[in-house]
Amino acid sequence: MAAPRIWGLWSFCCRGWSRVLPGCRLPGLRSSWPRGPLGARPLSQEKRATETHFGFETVSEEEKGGKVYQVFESVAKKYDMMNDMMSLGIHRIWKDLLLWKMRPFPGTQLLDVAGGTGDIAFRFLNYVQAQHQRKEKRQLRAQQNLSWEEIAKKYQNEEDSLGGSHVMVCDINKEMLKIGKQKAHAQGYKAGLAWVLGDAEELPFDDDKFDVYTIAFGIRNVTHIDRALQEAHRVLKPGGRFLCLEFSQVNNPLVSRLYDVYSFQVIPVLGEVIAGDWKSYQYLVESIRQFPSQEEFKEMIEDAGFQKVTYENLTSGIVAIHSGFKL
Amino acid sequence: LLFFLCSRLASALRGTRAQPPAVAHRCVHASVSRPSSDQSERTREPPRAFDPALLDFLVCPFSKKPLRYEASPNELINEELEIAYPIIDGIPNMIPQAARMTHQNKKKKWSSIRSYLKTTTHTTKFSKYHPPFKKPEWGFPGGASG
Repeated sequence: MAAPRIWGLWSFCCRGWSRVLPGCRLPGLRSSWPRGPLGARPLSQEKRATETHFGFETVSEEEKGGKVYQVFESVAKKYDMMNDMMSLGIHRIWKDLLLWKMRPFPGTQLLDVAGGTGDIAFRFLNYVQAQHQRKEKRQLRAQQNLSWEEIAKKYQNEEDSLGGSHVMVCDINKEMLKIGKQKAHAQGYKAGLAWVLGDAEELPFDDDKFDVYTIAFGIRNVTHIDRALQEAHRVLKPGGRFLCLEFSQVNNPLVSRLYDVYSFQVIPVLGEVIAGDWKSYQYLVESIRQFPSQEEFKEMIEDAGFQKVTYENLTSGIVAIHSGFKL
Repeated sequence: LLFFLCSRLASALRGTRAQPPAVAHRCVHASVSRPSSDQSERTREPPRAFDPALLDFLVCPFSKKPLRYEASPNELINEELEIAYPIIDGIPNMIPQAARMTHQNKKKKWSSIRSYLKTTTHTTKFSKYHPPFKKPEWGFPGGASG
């Protein structure tokens, strides 16, 4: 039974690398992988209130949270290594660029949501410490003629090497946080770091608390992105910055083809071979395709109340950093 | 760039401590304050104690009110709603579904707590952040169900 191809959409029979056309992302379409071609069932074009997408599947909103939790619970132990393998180490540069864009100063309160294994948090602490040390060097150069009392005072005061900066790592998944905490302990990060299990849609923090809110590669897994954005707006201080690092739409057609082939042919295979988990990595690449484009996401951020919202494409749009201010 | 990438990847695969990614183009490497040679003091497990300084930041995700720390059952308690959040391995579990009702409160149901909250502080806080001139197209949490 030949299935009518509608809008040139993907064929689930070969589970191939077809790209979702922009604007045709209909969550009413079901994944017919075990059942057959799409055209056999009636398509619902309206987004039902209680249904959402889990990769290319349609699931209820209650189910999505649980399924995403299971995905990350199973990938937690090899998360960092798989990130390195899949992105060929480029994810480190993306995260570094996020920090350089943030330019935190000593005394910044950072909230890192969905920051399970602590990559952003550790980079933040390093950056702030480096800044503090540079400041001390500058002070030393300027103060070559100190009196003995001042020198003695310097030895007595144990100055906070972070300058009052603090980072709160919040994640919904216990396994990811456990791995993050072990990493922190292994690498010797003690001060200025806190770990909390929390839901991005209902953050357990009071209003106007944080200077910067970051969410790196996490917001596409949230069931209600608008709620997460509103919570972000709530917990930020006036003048606070929202930063989101996320996979996005590629703007170059050649890169896009290569990226599709790589995503759908190589990544799940890597996942199966290294982590023994095909489905989680299939979900990963599908969820990237389901995420709104840079402009759409920018509008969502503006709707949540942020101002001066901008985005910057990295690696021709594979990843984008969205930034907004609460003014 | 390639050399940079290769060196990073090599260090990761070797399993050594990753170099702190400080501002690379200025070639400044942060040296994080680490316990230098006190190997005997460093345990294999990360510390499990809850840091009470977190209480300044944490509030109940339902009512956004401050919490009280109880050391004996190792929980964070919201007196008003009579619910308690567990602390596991030093990490407070603040997910709304994880809250446990304290023993005085067994008769109250979850639905009554949420509907109480909807009529009092919860939705008023959200409505404060609703931009007055532009209605959000992506949905609004006012009618959210537990």
